[in-house]
Amino acid sequence: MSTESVTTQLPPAQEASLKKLTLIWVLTMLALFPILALLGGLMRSAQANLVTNLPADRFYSFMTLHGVGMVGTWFVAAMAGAVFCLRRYVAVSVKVNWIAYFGTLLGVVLLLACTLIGKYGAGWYFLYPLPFKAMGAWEGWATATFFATLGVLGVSWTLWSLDLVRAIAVKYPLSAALGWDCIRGKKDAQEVPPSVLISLVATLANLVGLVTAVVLLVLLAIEHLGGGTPNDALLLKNLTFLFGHLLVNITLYFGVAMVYELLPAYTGRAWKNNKLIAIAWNIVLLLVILAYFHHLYMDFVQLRWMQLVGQISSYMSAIPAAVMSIFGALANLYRSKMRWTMASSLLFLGVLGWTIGGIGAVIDSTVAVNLLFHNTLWVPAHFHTYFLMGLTLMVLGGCFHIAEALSGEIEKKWLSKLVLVLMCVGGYGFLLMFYISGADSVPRRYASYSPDIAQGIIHAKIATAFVAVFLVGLLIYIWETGRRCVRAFRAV
Amino acid sequence: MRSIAAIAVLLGMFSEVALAQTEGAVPSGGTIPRPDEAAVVFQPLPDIQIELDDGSKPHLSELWQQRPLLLTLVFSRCYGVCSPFLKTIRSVADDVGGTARDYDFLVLSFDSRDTTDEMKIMAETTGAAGREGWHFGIASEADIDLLTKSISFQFKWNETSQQFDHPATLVALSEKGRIVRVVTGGALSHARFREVTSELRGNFVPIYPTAADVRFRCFEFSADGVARPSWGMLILVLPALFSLLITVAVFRIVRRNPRPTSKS
Repeated sequence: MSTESVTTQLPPAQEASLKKLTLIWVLTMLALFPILALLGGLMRSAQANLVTNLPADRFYSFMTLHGVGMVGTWFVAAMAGAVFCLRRYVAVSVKVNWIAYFGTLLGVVLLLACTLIGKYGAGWYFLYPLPFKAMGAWEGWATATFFATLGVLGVSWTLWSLDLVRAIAVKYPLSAALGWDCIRGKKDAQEVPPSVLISLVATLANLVGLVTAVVLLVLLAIEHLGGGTPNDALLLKNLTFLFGHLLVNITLYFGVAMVYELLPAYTGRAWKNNKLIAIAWNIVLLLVILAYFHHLYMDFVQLRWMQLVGQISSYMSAIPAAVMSIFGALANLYRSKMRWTMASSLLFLGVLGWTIGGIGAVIDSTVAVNLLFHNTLWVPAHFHTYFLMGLTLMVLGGCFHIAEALSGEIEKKWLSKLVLVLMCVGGYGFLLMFYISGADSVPRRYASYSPDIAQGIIHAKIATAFVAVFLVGLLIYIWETGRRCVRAFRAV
Repeated sequence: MRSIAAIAVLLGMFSEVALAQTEGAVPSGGTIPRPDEAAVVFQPLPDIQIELDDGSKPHLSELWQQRPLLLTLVFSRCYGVCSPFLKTIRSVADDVGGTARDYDFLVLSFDSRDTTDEMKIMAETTGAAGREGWHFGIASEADIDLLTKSISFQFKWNETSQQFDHPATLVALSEKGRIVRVVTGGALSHARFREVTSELRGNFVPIYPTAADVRFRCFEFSADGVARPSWGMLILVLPALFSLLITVAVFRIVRRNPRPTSKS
């Protein structure tokens, strides 16, 4: 019983198939997120000495699964949500979307195998040559499976991204899709919704990241199949962080594209493209690629001008994307008759989390500050802020919107309020402990804390309690969204 | 099609450059690992007694206390890297200068069969015989064992070739007998040698590559800290260029052959 009444670019059969697939994406996300969040909670419990029988090798394999799993889950959820929204304007290939789904599923299976069975624990960043220097913590097949995971996901997501580029190209010329016509003030320019512009920017940056991953895998393969001549560690670190930085950022951009598309449905005001938005997102496309240098401040062999480019790009890329979108969202909301629902509240709170986490990220991208903060819990503090309380909330809002629209089942207000309160209190409480630990010089990536950093144990204990609060809210959300998805799935 | 061909040519060029860059493979067999510089640097060398080709029997400390020492380990029956490596060292040292003023060379045999006479012949074939600052010598098997272990230098007798498999290695020792640098690989560049000797003179060299043969470096650093971009930098730019090309290609192909879209 769908209440959704949008005109789409797809034939009815494909429209139904895409709706089903989107619901499956949402259900998959609802299954993966709590498991990965529980793993995070388990790691904090171990740091808090509440769980005492978690060996270090298992801790690091969980950390790897948690990191790669979360980034992957939110990337696919955000992209699937954005694609669902974009079907109003462009006709994506439903077949390619299904291929991306099954490719992702295969990637998840491989990732579970290498981390849970193989105990692969080099972290999501798989910093060269660590994956190949396991020192008995994991076996060679686990490393090979991990890279196979990246390969499978990379191929699936590249196809998915290329199809989105193709779909946009069918409808808009490049100069229109990237907002250049709008910037030049071309009178007969085709109007392009901001969500299309942002999605194209995100997809192009994503292609750069995915091609980078391919280059990285090829270099590693050449080393291991072609005689063992070592690779340049600095080059591989640059490639790894170019890929990782782009993947995380474009995931955020897809989340923002959903906000641009869905928030007006609750404020009752259109959020149209304009010259400033177009300029801002074009600047983002350039700067997001250069900003990754801020991950290599500790690498003193990196040339100084590159470090400077990293800092300047980080500062400048935050201004157009965040400021334009944040002020845009607030302007869209200001004096509107906003309908505060579970979906709209989560979208709004997501923008708030993105802002707070973004400020933390800009602080950390300052060379002088990074020298002090780099290896402390400040780093997980800021990236969990813009990811958990930023992007995650945006996507959860988008998913609830989709589930509600396709099922036609209206939310219970009191339950929505409860979910929002539990997730905000739990989420921000959990993050606050990270920030306090960071300020207190508690190092990151430690499986347990020695007596000289015992303050980390106390912070982890409090954080664990907040994680539990967040999880209660999340479980209610999952129940509410999940059953709407199932109902909608039957109805489509 | 033209852009794909251009990319293929570019990738081909890169692979050729990469192969050309692969310098100094393990000389007499690829199975022997090279000394691990990071593991032994700043460690003291055992003060063993050696016998030189002039008949003297000094302890190593008597040599390094005079001047910093550049030690290399060879065997006189080597058909492989030993003689070419010694000739390279002599030639590079001649170009850079400073032998017998800033540092001395000690060429020591790790083969217990070698005699001082055989080492003398080796000195002559290398072109270093009679030169000031060059010492050729031997040591007892036990002392060689002690010495090679201290710098993680490994060698292994190969029955098939009737030769020792071993890496070409140059060890820089300070005047206190501590390991300052370990350079491996048959091809010793002038830049690397300048770095090593600069460090022996007490200058701080902040950055240098730890392995001789690395594919696609981002930068090449000279002894004075000046860096110039290398092939790795180009690889960093490739993904962005490639993605740009693909995007333009997709838009051009799709816009040239438009297909009608249907609405539900």
